[in-house]
Amino acid sequence: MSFLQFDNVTKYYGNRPALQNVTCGMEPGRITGLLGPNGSGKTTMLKLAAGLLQPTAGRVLIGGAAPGPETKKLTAYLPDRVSLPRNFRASDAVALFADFYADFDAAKAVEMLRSLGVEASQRIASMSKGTQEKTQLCLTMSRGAKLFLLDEPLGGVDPATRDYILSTIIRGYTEDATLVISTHIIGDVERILDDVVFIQNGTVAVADSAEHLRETRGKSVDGIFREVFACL
Amino acid sequence: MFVKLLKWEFRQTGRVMLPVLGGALILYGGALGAQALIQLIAGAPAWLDVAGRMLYALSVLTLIVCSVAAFFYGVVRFYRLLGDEGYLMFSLPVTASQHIGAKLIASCTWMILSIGLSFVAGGAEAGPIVSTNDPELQELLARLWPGAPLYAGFFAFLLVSLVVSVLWMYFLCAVGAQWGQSRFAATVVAYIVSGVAVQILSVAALAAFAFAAAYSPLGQQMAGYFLANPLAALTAWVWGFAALSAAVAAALFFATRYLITKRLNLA
Amino acid sequence: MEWSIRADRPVYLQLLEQLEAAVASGVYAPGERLPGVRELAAQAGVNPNTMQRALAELEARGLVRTQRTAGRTVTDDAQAIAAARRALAERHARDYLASARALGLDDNEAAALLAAVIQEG
Repeated sequence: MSFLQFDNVTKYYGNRPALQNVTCGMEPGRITGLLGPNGSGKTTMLKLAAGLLQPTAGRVLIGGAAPGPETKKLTAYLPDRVSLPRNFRASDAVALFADFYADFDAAKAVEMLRSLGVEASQRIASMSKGTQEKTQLCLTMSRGAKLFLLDEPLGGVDPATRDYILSTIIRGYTEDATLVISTHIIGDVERILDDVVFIQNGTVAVADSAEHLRETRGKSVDGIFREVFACL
Repeated sequence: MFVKLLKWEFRQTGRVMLPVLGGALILYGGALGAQALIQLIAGAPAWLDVAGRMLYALSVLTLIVCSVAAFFYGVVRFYRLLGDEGYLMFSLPVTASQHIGAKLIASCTWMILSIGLSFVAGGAEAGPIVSTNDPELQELLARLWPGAPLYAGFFAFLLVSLVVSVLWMYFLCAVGAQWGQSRFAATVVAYIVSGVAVQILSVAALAAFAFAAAYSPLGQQMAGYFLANPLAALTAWVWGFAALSAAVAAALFFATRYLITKRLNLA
Repeated sequence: MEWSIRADRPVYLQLLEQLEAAVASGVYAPGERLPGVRELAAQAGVNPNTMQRALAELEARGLVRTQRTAGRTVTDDAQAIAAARRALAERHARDYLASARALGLDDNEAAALLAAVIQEG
């Protein structure tokens, strides 16, 4: 049974359709890749699941319930931008997460931050953008959430950081958690994916397991992606 | 969860407000100290008096600035909530009402505190501390007592107006946020347009009211009542306005909440 | 252990092959305890479910064992390891022969070439 379910979801921004009749499900204990070009609707899907947007039509269900404070308790959302208040210190961010999320492991977060060279008293504003993004990632992956929504976690990072992020994600995996990662750079991430969902112009183009795609099409997911989106 | 949110809001705003308020109180303490010294020392130098008065003036000024700053700072914080910070804040297991409520309460608390302190500091210059056994004071209180509901109504109206002014800005931020990329410009335009609209509507309402009061039978009746019982009528009016303002506040609250839930689109 | 996983073939098969090679060549010694699934997956940069699938197959082939308290350990059975080693070497040998034939060598030339390379050391 899917933990995160999109039921015929349509989302319009004014007159512009961002998603049209999207139906798909993400299972617990699996890492799903939401793959598509920029502007295809991946971020919109994640924001709908995170409860930051309301669908124009259709339903988004998390564990059978509509997104709200109850689902937010078990959802860990990593946006594609830095959202920590600039005047926060690293310690403030840890304290905020610890205060509002019962599943947050503060000790783990502090340890991860320390290994990245982030001091507790450092202000977010004084960190480089890369460090800010890594701080957000540490906080998110220190949650024991049932649903992880990671929006472009590998955007614009160097290969060493990319490996660090991927290994953090793999280590954060648990059998009862549903992990959804959105990206438009597939080559880096495809080996950690169980399932893939291709989003094109707000609709689902392909939805299958990564291994099945490799076996049946004899190509990498990246290769298949380039085929599917070749006309763009 | 709401208490936690409120705690965080006070914690964050306190980092800015408390040092300023503390500074004002230190200045005020300095003024009191100077005054005490003047009373204790026989031939106190003239500059002590001047310094004392300057410190006093600065402290009151700081408190007034504080009240205004608290207002603008509160608005800026709400504006930021509808930006990048919103990705974090709206992911918290908290409702939109709680977000609005926490920021509203914190902002209004700092404003009321600053205004209250500035009154206390400003009023204390009035002279030596008056004892409650003072016959003059007792006579004054006795004369003012029947008007207590009026003063209370006035106070309530001021309080609710303060809340309305903050909620009005929140509402404008929420409206401006509908324009994603040009959020700031849209908010400013909304501010100007709404300001003009309110001005026009107020003048129209006032004209209609004056006309009705002068020419309608109900108006004549009410005028008669007013002349017979000025205090009661005035009290009723003030409380009426307070209630009307409270209704406006509620409408703004729900409108803002609607915009940041059903129509939320973080820039 | 060094992993080399390509994305254009099923990952599970590549993991299986490389784990077999590791056991056969002694990178993981007989009786040695393997790291946990998540740790192995993180090292290889692959999905934990896929790693689990490869490990389960490895166990079905008798090269690792799961013990309740000690987790997964490499088998002590020297014969099983030797058999795996032989099977892998045989596969490489067949690959060599196929490559040599594709280049146009006949079987005698292929065998002589191999002997010469062994002579060189």
